[in-house]
Amino acid sequence: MTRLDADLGHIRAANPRRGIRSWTLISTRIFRVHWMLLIGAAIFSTIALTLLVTPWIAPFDPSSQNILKRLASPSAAHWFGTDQLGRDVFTRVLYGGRFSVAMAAITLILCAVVGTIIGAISARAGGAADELLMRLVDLLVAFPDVVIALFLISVFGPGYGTLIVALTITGWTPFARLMRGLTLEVNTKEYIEAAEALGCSRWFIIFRHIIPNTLGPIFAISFLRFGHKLITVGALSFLGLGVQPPNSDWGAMLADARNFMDRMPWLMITPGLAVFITALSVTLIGKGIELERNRGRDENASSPYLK
Amino acid sequence: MNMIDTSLANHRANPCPATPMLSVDDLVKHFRIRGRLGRQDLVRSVDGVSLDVMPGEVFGIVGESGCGKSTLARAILKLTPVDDGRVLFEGTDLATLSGARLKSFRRNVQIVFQDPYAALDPRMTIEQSLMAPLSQHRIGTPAERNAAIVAMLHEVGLDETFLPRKPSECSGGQLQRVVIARALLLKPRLLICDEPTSALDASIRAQILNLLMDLKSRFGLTMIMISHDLRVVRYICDRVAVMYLGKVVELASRDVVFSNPAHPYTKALIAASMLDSEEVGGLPEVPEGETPSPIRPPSGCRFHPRCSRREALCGQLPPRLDTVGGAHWAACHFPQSGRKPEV
Repeated sequence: MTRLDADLGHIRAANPRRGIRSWTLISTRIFRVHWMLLIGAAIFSTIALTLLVTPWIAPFDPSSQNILKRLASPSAAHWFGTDQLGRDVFTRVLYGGRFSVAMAAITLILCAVVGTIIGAISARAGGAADELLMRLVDLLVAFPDVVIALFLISVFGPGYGTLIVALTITGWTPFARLMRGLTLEVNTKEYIEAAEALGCSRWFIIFRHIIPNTLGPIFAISFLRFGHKLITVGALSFLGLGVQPPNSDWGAMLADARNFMDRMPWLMITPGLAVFITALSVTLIGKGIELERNRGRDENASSPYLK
Repeated sequence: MNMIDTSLANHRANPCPATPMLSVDDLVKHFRIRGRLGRQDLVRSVDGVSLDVMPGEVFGIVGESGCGKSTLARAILKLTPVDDGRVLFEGTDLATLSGARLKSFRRNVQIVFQDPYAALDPRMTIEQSLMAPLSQHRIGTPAERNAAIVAMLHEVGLDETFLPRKPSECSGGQLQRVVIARALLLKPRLLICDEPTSALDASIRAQILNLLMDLKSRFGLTMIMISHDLRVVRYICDRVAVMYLGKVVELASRDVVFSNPAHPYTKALIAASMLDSEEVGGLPEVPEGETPSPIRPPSGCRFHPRCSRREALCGQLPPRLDTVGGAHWAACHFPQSGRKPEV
C-alpha cells in the first residue's frame, strides 16, 4: 500500500463519521443556547401547541353542565375536578387559556409595534415633537394601566375588543421609551448619516435602518412584558371586564372560583398555576434572549476588525 | 492686485476668475455641551471659515484631529445646521433648500466616510445598500437599477459576487470601494472624502487613493479631500487649506504650501509628517505643548501659545486670512518670508 492509498483509506474511514459529527454539531448548537431560553421555549411551545389543538383534544365540552357531579375532586375522568356547575375544569383551563394567551399576545404585538414606531419617530424628529411625545409617555406611565383600562372600558363597554384596545393604549409606553433610547444610539452611526446624505426618506431610514438594527432588545423586552400583559388581561377579566360568559378565560375562572375556595381549592389553583407557568416560560425566553445577546456581544465586541 | 485691495475684499480666498462650484462663506458651527455644574459650554468647532472650491479641482483640507474638518464637511452636505455664515453650491444657498430641492442637491454632492464598517448598515446586503440611493431617488426601472449597480461595482474594481454579501463578509478595502460606488451611483459632481483611507490598512490606502483619482477623471468629479495625513494631500490635491482649531490658517496651491509654507503651524505640520524623509535637514520645528481645547481657544492668534515666532501682538489680535503673495493666503501677523517665492 502506497502512502497515497493509506491517506485515501484514512479519509474513507473517516467519511462515515461525518453524518454523526454533523448531528453532534447540531445538538451542541442547541445546547450552547442559554438554558433559560431552552427551558422557556420548551414549556411555552408545549403550552402553545396544546392550546392550539384544544378543540380536538379536550375531553369534554367546556360549557356542558352536570349538576350531579358539581364540585367534584380530581379524578381519572375529571383531571382537575369540576366547578360549581359541574363543568370539567381541565377543559375549561384549556379553552380559557386560548382566550388569555391570545389576548395577551395580540395586545403585546400591538403595543410593541405602536411603541416601536412612535419611539423611533420621536427620537428621529427631536425637538418639540420629541418632547411632546415623551411627556405623553410620562403622563400615561403616571397612571396605573388598569385604571386607564377601567376608564376606557366604562366608556366603550366590556368585551375583549375593548380590552385589547385599552391595554394597547396604556401599554405602548415602555416600548416607546426603550425604542427612543435605542434609536438615539443607532442615530450616531455613520450609515444613518450616509443615508441622509444619499437623500433617503425619513420612513426609509426608520423602517430599513433603525428598526432592523434595534430589533434584538425590542424582541427581548416583548417576551419580558408578556407575563405582565397576561396578568393584566387576567386582572381585568377577574373584574368581569374582559371575556363575557359563557366564554371564560383564566382571570374569569379565578373570579368564579373565589366563592368555593375553602371547599374546592383546585378551582382556583389550576387557572392560577396556568397563568404562572405560562408567564414564567415566556419570561424565561425573554431573559434567555437577553443573556444570549450579551454573550454574543462580549464574544465579538471587536469582530468587524478581526474578521 | 495689492495688499490693501485684497484685505478689503471680504476675506475671500478666490484666486481664479472662474465661478466656484462651492463657496463657504464665514461659516460658524458651535456645539453646545453641558459642562460641569450644568454650565453650557460652547465648542467652537468651525469658527469663521471661508473657502471656494473650483470645478474640477481636488481641494484638500488638512489639520489635526478635532480642528473642525469633519464638521465643515457635514455643514457642506447640509447634514448639520450651521450657526452663522452660509454655504453656496453653484450659487444656491443651502439654507434655503428643503423638500424636493434638497433631494436634488443630494444627487449633486456625496460623501465617502472614514470608516467603511460604520458607513454601511451591517444588516443590509451590499445589493440593498447600493439599491437604496437609486430607489429612493426613483432613478430608472428595477432592471436598469440592477444593471447600474453591477456596472458601478465593476467601476470600483469589484464584481457582482459581492451583491449578496453582508458587510461582515468583506474586507475594509472592499467595503470602502462599496461606499465609493454607492456615492457615485447618484452621479454627483462634488465628492467629499472624509479621511477615506485612515481606517484602512497601509497596503490598501494607495489602491483606494488611486481608485479615487481614476474615478475623478472618468466621472469628471470635483473633490474635497479631508485628511490629517499630509502625504495623502500632497499626492492628490491641487489646492490645500490648513485648518487649526476651527479656522483656516493657510490656503494655497499644493506646491506653494509644501515648498514655501507661510504659517508656522503649516511648517510644523509638514516637518512632523516628513520626519522619516530626507527632505528636511536637522530636527524639525515641533510646536510646544498640546492643542488647546476648542471650548476655550486662546486669545488673539489661536496658535500663539505654541508658536516659536510669537510676539506681543499675537496674543491680542486675531490675524486675518490675508494674501502673502498672489493666491497664497495665510492668517499670521508675521508670515514666513525670505524663502524662495511660490513655484
